[in-house]
Amino acid sequence: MKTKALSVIVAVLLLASVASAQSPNERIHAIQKRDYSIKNKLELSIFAGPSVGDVFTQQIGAGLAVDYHFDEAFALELSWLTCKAPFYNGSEQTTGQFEGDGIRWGAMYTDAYDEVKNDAQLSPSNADLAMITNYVGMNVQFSPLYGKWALFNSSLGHADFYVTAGGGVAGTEFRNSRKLWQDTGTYFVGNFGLGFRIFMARWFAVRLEVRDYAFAAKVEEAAEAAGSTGAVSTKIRNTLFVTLGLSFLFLGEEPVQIWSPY
Amino acid sequence: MRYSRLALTFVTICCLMGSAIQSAKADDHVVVADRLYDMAGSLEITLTPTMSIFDKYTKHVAASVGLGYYFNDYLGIEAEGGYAFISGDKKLLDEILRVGVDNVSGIERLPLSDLKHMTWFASGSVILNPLYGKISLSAESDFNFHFYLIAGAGVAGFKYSTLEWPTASEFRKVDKDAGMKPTFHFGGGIRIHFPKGFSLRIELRDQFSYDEYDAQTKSEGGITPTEKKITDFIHITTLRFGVCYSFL
Amino acid sequence: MRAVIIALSISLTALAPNLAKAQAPSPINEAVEAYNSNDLARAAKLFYETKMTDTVAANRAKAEYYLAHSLYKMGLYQSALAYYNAVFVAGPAHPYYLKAAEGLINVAAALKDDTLIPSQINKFYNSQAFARMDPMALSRINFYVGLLLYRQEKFGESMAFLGAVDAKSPVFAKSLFLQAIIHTKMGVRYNLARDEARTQAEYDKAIALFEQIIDLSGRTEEKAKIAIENYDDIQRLWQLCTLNLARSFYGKGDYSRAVQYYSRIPRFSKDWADALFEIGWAYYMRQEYGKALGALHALHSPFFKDLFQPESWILTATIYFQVCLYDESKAALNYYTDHYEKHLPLLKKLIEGSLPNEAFASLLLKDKLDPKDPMAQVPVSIRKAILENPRVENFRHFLRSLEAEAIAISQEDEWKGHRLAQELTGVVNVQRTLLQKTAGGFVKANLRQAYQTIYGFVSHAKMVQLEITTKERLLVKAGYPIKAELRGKLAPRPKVPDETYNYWRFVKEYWEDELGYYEYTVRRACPKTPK
Repeated sequence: MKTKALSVIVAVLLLASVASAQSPNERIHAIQKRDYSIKNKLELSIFAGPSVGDVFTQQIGAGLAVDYHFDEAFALELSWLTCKAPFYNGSEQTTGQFEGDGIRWGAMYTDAYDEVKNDAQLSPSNADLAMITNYVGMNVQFSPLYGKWALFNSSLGHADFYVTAGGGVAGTEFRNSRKLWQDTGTYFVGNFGLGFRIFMARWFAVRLEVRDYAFAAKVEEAAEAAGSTGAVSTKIRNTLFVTLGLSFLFLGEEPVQIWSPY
Repeated sequence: MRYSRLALTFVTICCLMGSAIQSAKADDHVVVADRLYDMAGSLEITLTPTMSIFDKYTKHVAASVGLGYYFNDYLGIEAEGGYAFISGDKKLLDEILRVGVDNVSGIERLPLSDLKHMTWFASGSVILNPLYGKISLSAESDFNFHFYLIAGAGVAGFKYSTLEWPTASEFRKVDKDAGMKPTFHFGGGIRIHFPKGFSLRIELRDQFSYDEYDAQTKSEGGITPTEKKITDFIHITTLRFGVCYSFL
Repeated sequence: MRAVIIALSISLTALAPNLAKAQAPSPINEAVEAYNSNDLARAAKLFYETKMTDTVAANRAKAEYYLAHSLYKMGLYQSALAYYNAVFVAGPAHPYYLKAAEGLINVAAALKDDTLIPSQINKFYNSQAFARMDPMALSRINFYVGLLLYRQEKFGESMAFLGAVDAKSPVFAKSLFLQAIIHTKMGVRYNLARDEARTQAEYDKAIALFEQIIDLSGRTEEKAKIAIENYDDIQRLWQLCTLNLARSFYGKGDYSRAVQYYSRIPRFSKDWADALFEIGWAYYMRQEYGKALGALHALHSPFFKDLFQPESWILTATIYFQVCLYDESKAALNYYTDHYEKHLPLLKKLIEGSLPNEAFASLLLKDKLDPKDPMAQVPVSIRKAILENPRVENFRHFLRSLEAEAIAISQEDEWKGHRLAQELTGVVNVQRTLLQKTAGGFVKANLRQAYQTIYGFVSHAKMVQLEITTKERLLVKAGYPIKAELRGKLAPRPKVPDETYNYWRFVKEYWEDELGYYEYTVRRACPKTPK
């Protein structure tokens, strides 16, 4: 109901003067079956993309998501985002400190980190360096918008736009001053994002999404680490991932196919 | 940061390609006839509040005024000038400076890239509108939009923070003029149409400029700063909300 | 059309005496040898010489047929037609009579001629002799003759020929279709005569036949593919059957089923414009005025620019009149006046003027008209309507093949300086002149029909206008406001069936994918109770 009310308000704003230009005695409507209905569909997506906007860390995540669309507007999503091989941390050098860049894809520090560290002899807070390794969580997706467009007025495209919010748990780690990976704990991670899926076929869509994963990082550098002060730093860490996904849609309403000879 | 720009470019290409692949048709028919909103011949003025996002150490809140003309529905040009009301450093820079104050003591010009913040700009752009569409709100009502890409060049004024050291452990930041530099920009956004010639542009734009910067650095345990030249592109990614009015 | 054949016969016989004087030994064996070795140009030349000079009648007869056949195999269909025809008109006494009949049918198919050759065959139809013919060839002949008789509105005779088409013949589906159309036409006639029982019976027969054609598809994709291989143009026929089923149900007064079948016509297909217009009528009859106006709205969109649909504006005006929106009704009538009625003087001038038939041919035979050509004055919508007639493509195909044939004859080295080349050139030229006359006649007839259609609806428009004036006067008299917006409430927006549907309001712009899904809501402006 709230959606409807919101739509009506927006519609009134948008239509105010367009409507007045029409004949007062008639209205024309197009009521059209959606070409790409997602109601009751199960959507299996694979996605990947970089994190953006973080000054000192840069990650590349990939993952899987399974969405069940209760209707055209709401879906429940189970997703897994990974930036590191799960359940294996690499070879342990000293207690809780691991070597193994090969099992971590795109988990790195930026040039800015090197500048701060090496050129300016400064140190970002350790909490600023904590990175998600694997995240598993559940989201609620809300798609109030369905759009279509003409590309150079010659071909038609369709998409639906959504916002998503949810939470889950994620493993985190950071690379300490000995350049070894150190577990920084498992956290509850809340996330919020928005995106859209461009329908290529009834069973296939390309999905683009921006999603922010936030957690309250609390990082204590291992005492054995060179130069470690054993200090604890805390910070709300936000990692914004931009991902591109391929979605495969199953089940749901099949278009009514009245077989016709022509 | 480079990944984010790549991602943006990649996204744009994917959106365009996706649509084209989906329903490429050979004949020269039109998908929309008698368009409600056609940019052809439109002369428009735009007032744009802007804020920077994804900056490393700087922040900007600006406003600009632009004048655009569209030759047809797909192609337009725009001239724009803006001033940053808020242009300075982010909290992060102060944080890391405070933590490592001993290590940078005596350094006047920090050896960090992307330290420069823009104070004003003037630019010219070319705008391409490949997509015209409409969006339905909960299958109840709808609005029209154009998706556009923008690219151009111009000039901008920059400043940056230098450090003054009243004592060895106490610093004070002083803004220093970095002069005027040529800038380039690219981006994309959507234009939501309203009746009577009004529209709202929501745009993501990356503005960049080449920078050579004589910074100072200290080696680990060193006392006297040594000179270091930093060459880099200053990137300012902005989120812009332009309110447009078309005269024609 | 018969004139063409007569002209061809005369041109051939006129040449005979001169050539008959040369009493050389018969070249028949040499001709057969060339024919067998596929040296068709030489074979044709030698058969021609045999035909003209051989003293043995059997040789001449053989040469005459094989001359035609050689030309046919060379793709010189018009030339082949002349010689096949000479054999055919000689009658069953000619040993190659039946073969020539088959040859004529093959030429008719190659030239896409469904008028000239069928009429010739009909003229010399010999059922006794034809009984010995290959059943498939005979079926084709029967179909063509049936088609010809149908065009002449000799429905009874036509049905007899069409009914004789073999079920295995590629033209079987076409013959069923024509029979169904004849039943539909009979239904219309009985309806005009207010004979309800016979009207229903004829439509029922038509419906059964249309269904029978669709049944040839087996109603499955796999079987349909087999049917497509076995029957001529059956995919097109299936679509036409759907459209005509809708028309038949409309004729029976079953508007609900008519709507159902009209809706099955694929969007953007060839018949979609007709379906939109006619579904508008079906909705009108069901008093679903919003849907009727929606269908007409699609028809009046830029996607159907220059479509000749005068009646759709009269229907629009009538619907608005029914819902008491008189200003809107008058606007539709004005559109009719401005876009159709205004063409009447020009059309009248063209069809009643002194232009010979040939002068009309350019409209359909030329891709680009000279501005000085009188046909350039024909309004675009009418020209388009004429050009969309399937027979136009046949005319154009015929003309193209004649032009190609003239070039082929002139370039054939074997025939350089030979009498055969002169004779064939003459045949082609005669035919080209006649084709222009025939095509011109076709255009003129269509222009006349367009004139009559527009003129006919002018009186409808006047009637609606008169009714509007009367109603407005009554409104004023009864004290109702003349402005519709002051008389009633706007009907609510139609319901979106469920969330899998999108609602788009229509504001000026036409999205291709929304065409056919429009629906109007109109103000309920008719006073309920008299004041």
